[in-house]
Amino acid sequence: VTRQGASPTIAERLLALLLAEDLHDAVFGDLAEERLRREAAHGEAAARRWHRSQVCRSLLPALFHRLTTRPRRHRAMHTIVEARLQDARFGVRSLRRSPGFSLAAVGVLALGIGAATAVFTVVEDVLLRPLPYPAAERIHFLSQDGDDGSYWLSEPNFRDMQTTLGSFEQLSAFTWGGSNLLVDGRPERISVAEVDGEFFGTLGLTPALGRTFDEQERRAGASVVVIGHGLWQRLLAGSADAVGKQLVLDGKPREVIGVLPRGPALPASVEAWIPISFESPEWRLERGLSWMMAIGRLRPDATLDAARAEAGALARRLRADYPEVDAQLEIGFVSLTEKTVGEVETDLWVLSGAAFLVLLVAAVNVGGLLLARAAGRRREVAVRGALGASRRRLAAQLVTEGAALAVFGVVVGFGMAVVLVRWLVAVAPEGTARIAEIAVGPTSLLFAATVGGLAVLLGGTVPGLASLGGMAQALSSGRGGSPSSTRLRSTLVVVQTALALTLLGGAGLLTKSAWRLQHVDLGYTADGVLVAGLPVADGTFASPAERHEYFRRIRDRVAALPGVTGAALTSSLPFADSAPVFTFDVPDRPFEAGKRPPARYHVVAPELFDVLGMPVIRGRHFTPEDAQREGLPVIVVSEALASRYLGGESAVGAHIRFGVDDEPFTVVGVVRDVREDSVDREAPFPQVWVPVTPTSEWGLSLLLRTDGDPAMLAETVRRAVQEVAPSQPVTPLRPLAELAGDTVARRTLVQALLVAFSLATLALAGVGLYGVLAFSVAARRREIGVRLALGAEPHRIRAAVSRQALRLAATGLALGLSLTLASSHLLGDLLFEVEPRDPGVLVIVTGTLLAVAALAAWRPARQASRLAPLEAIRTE
Amino acid sequence: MGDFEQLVLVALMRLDGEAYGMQVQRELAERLGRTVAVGAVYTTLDRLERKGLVASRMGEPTPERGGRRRKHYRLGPAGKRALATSRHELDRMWDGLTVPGAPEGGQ
Repeated sequence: VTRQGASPTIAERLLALLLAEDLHDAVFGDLAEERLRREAAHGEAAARRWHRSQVCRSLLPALFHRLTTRPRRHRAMHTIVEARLQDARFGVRSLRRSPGFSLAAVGVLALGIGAATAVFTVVEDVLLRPLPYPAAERIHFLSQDGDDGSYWLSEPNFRDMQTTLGSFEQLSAFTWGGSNLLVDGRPERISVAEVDGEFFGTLGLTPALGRTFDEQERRAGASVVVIGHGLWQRLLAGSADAVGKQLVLDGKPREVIGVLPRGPALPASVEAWIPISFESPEWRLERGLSWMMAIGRLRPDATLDAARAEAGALARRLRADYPEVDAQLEIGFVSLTEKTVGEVETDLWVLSGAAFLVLLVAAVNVGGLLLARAAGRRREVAVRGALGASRRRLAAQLVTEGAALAVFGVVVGFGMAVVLVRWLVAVAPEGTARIAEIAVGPTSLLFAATVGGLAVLLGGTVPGLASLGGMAQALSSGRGGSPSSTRLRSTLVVVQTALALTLLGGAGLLTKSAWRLQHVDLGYTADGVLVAGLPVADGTFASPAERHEYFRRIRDRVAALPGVTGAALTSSLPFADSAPVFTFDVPDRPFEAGKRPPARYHVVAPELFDVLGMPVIRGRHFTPEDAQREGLPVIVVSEALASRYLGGESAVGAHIRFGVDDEPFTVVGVVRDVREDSVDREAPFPQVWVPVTPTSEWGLSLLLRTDGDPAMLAETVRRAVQEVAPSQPVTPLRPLAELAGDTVARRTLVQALLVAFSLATLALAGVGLYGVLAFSVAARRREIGVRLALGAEPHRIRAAVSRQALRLAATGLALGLSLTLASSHLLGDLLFEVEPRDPGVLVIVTGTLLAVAALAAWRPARQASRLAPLEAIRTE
Repeated sequence: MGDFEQLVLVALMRLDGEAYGMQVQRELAERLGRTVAVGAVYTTLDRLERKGLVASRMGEPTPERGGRRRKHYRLGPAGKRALATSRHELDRMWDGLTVPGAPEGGQ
C-alpha cells in the first residue's frame, strides 16, 4: 500500500480496509506519485506530512462511501458480506435521518473510546509490555539498605556480592553524572554513565552498530565510548560509519566503538557509556562510601528466594566484619521493571480507572440516547409491527444502527486517542519512565474496536432489545415510552450520576492536593529567581584560587546585567543538584560512636540569603568578611538542625564539626528549613551553609534574583557567561519556580487529566438527566395540560418536575458517594496533605452535582409550567 | 447533485474533460485555495460514475506509483448536460440579485 521498504502506517491500513477496492490503485497510486513529486520539491518531511494528512483526511469519505454505495455488480463477493453491508447501509441511512442524535451519540461514544484507548495505550506500552531486554524479568537491582533502600552501594560491598551471590549469572556496577560534550566547538551538557565490562552482558544488550567494551578494556582504562541511539542521530546524523569517530567528553577525546539500539536508556536519560574507574578518586575504594549502583542477572535455574538466602548470609557476615560502616547493612533486590516503572504505576492505574469510568458513562449515556430514540419512534415501529414487520426485523434495525454507531464512534474515538497520546507524550515531565516507547499501534486500534463494540452492545443494544418485549402495548400507550423503558432510562441516568460523582470526587481530592502543593512553604521565595548551572569538568583548573577567580568573574559579569538585582554563587542548586550529605558532631556534647547525624552541606556566597529571600530566625547571615576570612570558620544552620542537636534557642555560638580532625565551625545564624529535593516528598532534614572562600574547591553555580520574568533573562545570561567563559555550558538555565514545579509535574498532569475526565462525565450525566426530564415532560403533556386546565398552579407543575430531577440526582448521589468513599483511598500517594475522605471536597463535589442537576431540570420544568393547556390536550 | 460533486465536474471540464484524481485535486486547490483529501475526490468521482455523469478507464502501471495504475475519468454527455442545466438554473435564479458582501459580479 505504501512506498517500497516502508511498512504501511495504521492509518494507511485502515484506509485500505475502508476504501472500495476498485479505487485502491487510483488513490494509493496518486498518493505515492504526488509524495515523490513533493519530496523533490519541498523535502522529505513536508512530503511525509502531506501524505499523512491526506491519508487521514481520506478515512471518513472512504468509510462514508463504502457505507452509502452498493458494491459494483461485477465484483464477486460473498453473499453474507453483501448482506451485512446492506444492513450497515441501512443503519447509516437511518442515522443520517436524524443527524442531531447521530452526532451526539458518536461524539459521546468517541469521547469514552478515545479516553479509554489513550490510557490503555500508555498502560500497555509502559506497564504491560516487558522491557526490551532478553528475559528482562531476571534482571534485578541490588541494594545494601533492604528492599526499599536507596540502591547506592560501596565498591567493596559490591565486590563481596559479586564473589558470593552464586544465584546471579552476572553482576555489574555503574554510576552516572553530567559531562561536557564538545559539539561543533560548543560545550553541551549530557548524561554519561560509567559502567563496568559486565554491564551490557547483564542487560543482554547487543549494540546496533560496532561493539561494546569488556572488563579487560575497562581495566586498561581505554578511552572508548558507547553511544545511545539518540546521540547517534543527533550528533552523527545516524551515519553508518559512526564507529571510529572521536568524541570529546569533559575535555578527553574518546573513540566511539558502538551504538546501542533504540530503546530505553539505563540509567534513564543517559546518552553515552564509558568504562568505569573504581580506583580514582581514591575514596571510591572506601567501604563506607556508597556511590554506585549494581544490577544482576539471575541464573535461569535460580530463584529470587535462593538469591535472598545467599544475600542474607553475606549481609550477616558483612555486619559482623565491618560494624563501623555496615552495621545497618541488609541486601535487598528489586526487579529492573519495578525500578523503572514502579513510580508511575499508581498514576497509571488511577488514570485507567478514571478512563474506564468515562467509558462506562459514555456507554450508559449512548444507551439512554438509543432508548429515547426507540421510544420516540415507538408508535411508528408498533404500526409497522402491526402491519407485519417481524420482531426480528425490528431487532435487526436496532443492531445495525448500534453497529454503525460503534464503527463511527471507534473511528472518531481512535483519532481522539491518537491526538491524546501524542499530547500526553509531549507534556509528560522529562524523564518519565518509558515515555519514548509510547505509541499508538495496532493493539490500540483493536482495543478501541473492542470497547467500542462492547459499549454500544451493553449500553444500548441489549437494553433496547429487552425493551422490544413491551412493543405490542405501545400502540395503546400513546406517544410516550412504556413505563419499563422510562424506568430503564431513569436507571441509566442514576448510574451516570453515580459514576460522574465518583470521578468528580477523585478529581476534587487531587485538585485540593494540587492547591496544597502550590502553597507548600519552601522556606524561601522561588518566584523571580533564575538558576544558572555552571558545570565544569574535574581538573579544569590548576588551583583553587584560579577556580574561585573564574566563578567570581562570571558572577560579577552576570550581576551587572540590567534586570538582575542579585546574584549568588552556590555549590548546589535547589531541585537541580542534590547537596552532599555529611555527618557531623557537636564537640561540646559528643554523640555515641557511630551515631553522628547527617546534614546537607552547602557552600554559598553571602548574597545567597538575600537572593533566595531566606529570613534569618536567630543570629545573622554571612557578611562579605566571612567569605574573605580564612581560619575562623562560621556556619549557618537550619531550624531542624538547631532544634534537634543544638538546643534551639542557644544554637547561635554553638560549635559543630564535620571532619573528625577539622576545626569546628561556629554557628552564627539559624534560618528556616528549606525544601531543595522535591516539593512534595521532603521532611525537614538538617541543613548547613558555609561561606565560599577563595581557597574553596567546590564547583559553583549561580542563583539570580530578577526584577521581572526570570525566563526572559535566560538568553541574556547565557550570552553574558559566554563572553567571560566561552567554553562554559550554562545548564540548567531556568526559573527556580519551574524547577520546583517539575518535581510535582506528574501529579499535576494526573490531576489535570482527572479533572478533564470528570468534567466530561459530569456534562454527560447532566445532559442525560436533561434528556430523561425533557422526554418525560413531553410524554406527559396531556396530563399536565389537563391539570393546568383544572386550575393547577404552574409553580406546582415546576416543583413536580424538579422533584423528579432531585429524586434521580439524589439516588445517583447516594450511590456515587458510597463509591467515592469506598474507592478514594486508591488514589494513595497521589494525595498530598489531603485525606481520601476529605469532607470539604465531598461537600463541594456534591454541591456541584446538585447544581448541574438543577441546571438540567430548569428548562423542562419551565416548559412544563408554561404549557398552554388546551393546545397540550389537543396534540394527541 | 451535491456542491462538491458539481465542483469536481467543473474541475474535470476545465481539465479538457479528462483527468485523474490528483489533477482534479490540484485544480480545486489552485482555484479555491483549499486542499481536499484525494480520497474524497475519488469517492465523489465514483459516485458521479454510478450516476452516469462521468466514465472511467484504467491507465498503465508506473514505477513512481509503486506499480499501480492511474484511473482517468472523462466527463460524459450526461455530465455536460447536467452541468449546463444546473448552471442555467442557477443563473436564472440569481438574475438581478447580488449577495451582500460578495465580490463584485461574484455569484
